[in-house]
Amino acid sequence: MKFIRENLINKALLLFAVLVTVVGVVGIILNRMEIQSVSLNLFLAVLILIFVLILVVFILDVIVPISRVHKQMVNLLTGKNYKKIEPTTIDEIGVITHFFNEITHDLEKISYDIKERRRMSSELDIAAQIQKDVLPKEAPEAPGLDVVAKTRAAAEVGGDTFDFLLSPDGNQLFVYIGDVTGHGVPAGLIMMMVDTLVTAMVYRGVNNGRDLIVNTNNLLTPRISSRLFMTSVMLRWDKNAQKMYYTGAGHEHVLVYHKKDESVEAIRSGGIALGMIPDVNQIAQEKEIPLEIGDSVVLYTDGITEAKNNTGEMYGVEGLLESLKKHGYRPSAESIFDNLTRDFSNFVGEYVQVDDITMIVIKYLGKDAATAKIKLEVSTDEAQVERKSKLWGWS
Amino acid sequence: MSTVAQISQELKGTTYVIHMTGEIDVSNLPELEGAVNPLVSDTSANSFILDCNGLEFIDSKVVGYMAYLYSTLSRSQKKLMIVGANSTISDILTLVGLNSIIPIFPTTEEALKSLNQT
Repeated sequence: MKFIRENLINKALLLFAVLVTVVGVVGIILNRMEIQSVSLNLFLAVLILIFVLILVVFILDVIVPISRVHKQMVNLLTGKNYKKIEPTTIDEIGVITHFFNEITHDLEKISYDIKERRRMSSELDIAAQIQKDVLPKEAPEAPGLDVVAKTRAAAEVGGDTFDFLLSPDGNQLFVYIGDVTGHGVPAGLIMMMVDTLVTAMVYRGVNNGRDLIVNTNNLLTPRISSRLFMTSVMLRWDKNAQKMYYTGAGHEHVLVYHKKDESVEAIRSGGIALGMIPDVNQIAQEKEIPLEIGDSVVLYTDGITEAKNNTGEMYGVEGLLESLKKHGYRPSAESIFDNLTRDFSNFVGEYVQVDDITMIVIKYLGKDAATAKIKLEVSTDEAQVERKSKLWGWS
Repeated sequence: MSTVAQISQELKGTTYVIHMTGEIDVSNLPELEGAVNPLVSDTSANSFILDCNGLEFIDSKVVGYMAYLYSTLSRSQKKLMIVGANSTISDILTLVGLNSIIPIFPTTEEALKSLNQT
C-alpha cells in the first residue's frame, strides 16, 4: 500500500500546510483586530475540521474506489452484468482496477472463443451428418454378389467415400470407392461434389465406368483447385453377363482373390486422379476383372495401407494381400472383411488413426446363389475421442 | 529415420532444375513452393525439371502441388519433367497417374536431351 500511504501523507501534509497558513492568516487578522485570546472551543472546532477533512480524503481516495472495484468483482463472480471501471488514481487501487479490466477483457475474449468453437463444432456435426446421409444406407440387389463396405473418417468430416448405384435399366450395378487428398472439411466438400456428380450421371443414363470417370473429371476439374484431387476406382457389375469391370482414376490397387489356386493379385487401377487435368479421355480405360465363383475383390483407401504400427512400419499393400491370401477362401464377404480388419487392427495396435479408412469386400457367389442385400456400415464415433485401432470396432 | 528436406535450384540453359532431397510433406511443402513459384513466371526459362535424386518421401499434398505446377506451366506452354525418382516416389506418381502427364526420366541429362530432340 505504498502509493496509497504516500498519497494520504501528501494530502495530510497539504492540509496541514493549508491549516498553518489559515491559522497564520487568522492570527494576523486577530492581531490587527487587537484580539488577545482565542477560545478553546474554536481550537477544538479547527481540530475536528482537520480530522473531518482527512476522513473525507480517505473516503474519496480509498474507500470509494475500492468499493467500486469490489462491486464489479462481486457482479463478475455471481454471474451478474459487470462493467469496465475507469481508474481514478495511480496507486494500488488503480493497479487492481486495471487488472480487473484486463481480466474481464480476456474473459470476454475466451468466452467468445468458446462460443465460436461450440458453434463450429455444432456445424461440423451437421456437416458430418449430411455426409453420412449421402453415403448409401441401402444397396440395390446384386444377384451373384455378396458385398460389405465400411468407412471411417479420421476427423468429423471425411474425404473417403463409396457408393452403390444401379443404372436406370437395372442391368448395371456401379460400385465405387474414392479418396480425396488429405482429410477433413476440404476433402469432405470434394467428396460431396463427386458423389453428387456420379449419382446424377448414373441416373441420367451413363452406363459404363469409363464415361462416368471421364465426365465426372470434366465437371469436377474446373470447379476445384488443381492441388486437390480424388483418386477412385469405379467397378461395374453387369448383372446379366455376370461380369465385373473396373475403371481406375489414380487409386490404390484392386485386390483379387482367386479361389481356384488360392492366389491373390494386385491390379494397378491405372488412370489419373480426378481433378488433376481437364481431360482424361485418352487415359481412362475400362477393363474386365475375370471372376470365377468364389473369387473376391477388395477395394480400399490408403488409410489402410499407409497406417503404421508403433515401430513406424507401414501396413502396405503387402500386408493386406497377405491377409487376403489367408482369408479369401471364407464363405461370405462379411467373414473376409472381419478377418482382414482383425489382421489390420492387430498390426497397427495402439497406433492412432491419422487418415480416413474405407474398405469394400465383394465375393462372387454365382448367379444362382442366394444373395443377401449388401451390408453397409458407416462407422460413427460420437465421442470423437482419440482413434486407436482397438476403438475402431472393426475387429 | 526421416531426413530434413533441402531444396535448391539452378538454371541450365533455359531449364530450371529443382533439386529436392529428404522428405517433403504438407509441413515443409511451403518451402518447395517458395523456391519454385517465383521461377514459374521467369520468361528466360521454358522448362522445369524436378530432380528427385535424394528425395525419400512425398505425401499427397506434394503430388497435388506437382499437378498444380504442371497445370500452371502448361498454361504458359512450359514443360515439366521429373528425374531421379526412387521406387517409392515413382510408385506414388504412377499410382495417381501423374506419370501419364509428366514425363519421368532416370537422369537430368536424359531429360535435357529429350528437350533438345523436340
